[in-house]
Amino acid sequence: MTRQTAGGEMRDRAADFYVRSMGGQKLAERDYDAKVLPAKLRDLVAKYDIRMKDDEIIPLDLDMARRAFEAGRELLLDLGCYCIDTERTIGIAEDEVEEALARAPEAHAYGTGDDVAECVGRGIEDDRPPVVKGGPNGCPLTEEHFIPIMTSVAKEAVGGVHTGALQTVLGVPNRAASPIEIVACKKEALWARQAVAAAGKPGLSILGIMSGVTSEAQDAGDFEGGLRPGDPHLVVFLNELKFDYDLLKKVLHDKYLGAAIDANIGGPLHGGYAGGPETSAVAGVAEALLGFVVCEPSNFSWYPQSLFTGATTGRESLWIAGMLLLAFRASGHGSILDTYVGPQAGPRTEMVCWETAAQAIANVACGASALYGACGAKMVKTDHCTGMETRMLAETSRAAAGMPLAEANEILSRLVPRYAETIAAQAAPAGKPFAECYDVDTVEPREEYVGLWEREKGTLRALGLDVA
Amino acid sequence: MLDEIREAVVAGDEDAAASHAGHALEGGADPSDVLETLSSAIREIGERFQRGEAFLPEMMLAADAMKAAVAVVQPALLAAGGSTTAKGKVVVGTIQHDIHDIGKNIVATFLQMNGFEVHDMGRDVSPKAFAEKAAEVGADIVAVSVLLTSTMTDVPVVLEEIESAGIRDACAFIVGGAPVTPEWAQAIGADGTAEDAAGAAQLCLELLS
Repeated sequence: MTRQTAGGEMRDRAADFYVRSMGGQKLAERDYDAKVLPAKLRDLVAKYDIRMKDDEIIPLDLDMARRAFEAGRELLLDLGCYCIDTERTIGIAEDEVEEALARAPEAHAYGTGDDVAECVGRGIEDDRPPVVKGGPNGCPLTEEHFIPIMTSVAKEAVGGVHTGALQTVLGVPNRAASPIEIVACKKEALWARQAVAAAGKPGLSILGIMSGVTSEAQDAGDFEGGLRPGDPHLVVFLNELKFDYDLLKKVLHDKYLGAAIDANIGGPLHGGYAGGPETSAVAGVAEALLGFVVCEPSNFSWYPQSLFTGATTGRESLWIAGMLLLAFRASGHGSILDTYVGPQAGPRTEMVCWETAAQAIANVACGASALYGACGAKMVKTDHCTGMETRMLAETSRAAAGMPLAEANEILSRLVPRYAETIAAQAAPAGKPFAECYDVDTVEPREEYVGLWEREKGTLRALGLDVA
Repeated sequence: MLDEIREAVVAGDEDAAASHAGHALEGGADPSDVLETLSSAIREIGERFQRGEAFLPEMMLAADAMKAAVAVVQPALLAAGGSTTAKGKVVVGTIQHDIHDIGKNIVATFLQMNGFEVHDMGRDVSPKAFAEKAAEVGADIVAVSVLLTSTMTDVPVVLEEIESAGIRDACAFIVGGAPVTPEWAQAIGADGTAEDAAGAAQLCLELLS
């Protein structure tokens, strides 16, 4: 966790990056985002000949995946990363990357007691199903429905839950960097624990904290009755290959707590600084490597969203996530790599079923260790999350386990066109809020929603996914 | 030469755009034709972005290239009796404690592409700093971006600061970002909101028309 220097002083990697952030090359952030990074990405994509093919929704060329890994590694070694607080780039050495990859666990048990779920570095076409960490993925939740929503998720066949962000606490609006933000984070952790207990799974792991912006507030989720050290603690890099001091502070807090760290990038963001699918894939490889170097995490997670759709389920996003996973797996790296599932459509719609299934098929076949969510409506609409979307993700993930890449691609080629044009037009239905999908008192899904999912399972079976 | 100007803008080549614009004017080109070429080029890249065929860095660089070329054309246009006065001054930024600035950067770029004078204050901007900048530059519009629900609470404070600075009558106030709804924007007293960057630019044009 920490390393001993020659002088006996305890040093941490995150603290090292703080020191290094003051001595790197000065570079305006706009130049880094718009000039330096995109130019380097374009060069690497050309050098390593990485191309998205028209007939592939997930990549099938494992040699190309290995080249994508090398391209991402070269990006990190050549460009390093960027600290927004000092506006400097920080170089990364080859041995740091090698040590980080060697150190990254290939299995990690989350949760306690009967509710332990072991995440493993699944291989390509691995017949072991991934862990599903169900829930709102950080989407805004009312305090009225926070516990029922989280309970509805925990009731499903999940290996953990991912919390959402409280909008109010005791009727007071949550406000960043204020005292109420601390309370919101404590309530988020406390109520999430109550929710998993209410579902009869008190040992289920809880991924958070989502109600706080500052590292201080996020750290407030750690207390007796709140997050346990073994729960995955989310730390988020900035798009792309950037960090701030809050990230380093959070990592340091978590390390000294002995906590599990989920290092994350809200990307790579297709259409943003990372550019197109090929360049985004290269950026995403480098970002995972950076996460392993800086955070010494138990796992790394991508949220491979598109700037154009706001979702993770479009054709480009599925290809990017597939390439990211295959790049590591085909290169022999069994670290724990996870993905967020963020459909554009919301609860109780046909489309959320299709989008969730598509990402499950794509990511599971390519070797994802865990999938988060699903949370629809682009994760921005209040209380637009229920346990039913988690059920869809869990059931389709199990059905996709062991599926050959070519078969996955064939099914996806029939499934994705059902919704691709709709999400490209940003026209997916936002669906219904939790209270219109579930009986809030019993925390059971309404018949209409259960029936909808059962019908759509038939649709998926007809397309080739053998979902039970 | 006008084709070269267009290509330089689309390619996001700031130096070439300015250089070609200068050469075009030296060669006798009508400044208003050069300006129209620049506008056409920037519209092209904006449309490509909206179709998902161009990405954020290309759009940012194209906007910078256009700005550089406009600076070259402006004196000639004024000398010819024309006007290059910007369509309006907009102060943009992401609200304090919120470090998500990609959406704001897209809006700033679209505003720049649509001929606004943009004062981009970056991320994590305090309400007071918004108002002070607006007063300093004589802003027509203050545009506040927000991504997180817990940072939305500070957005109405920007309006309070604008009012305290005594510039509310001269300055429109708009908000945008993933959690913003038209109802919320109206409730806090904003003059409007838009779903995306193109809509934000259109809103600004309408507010100043």
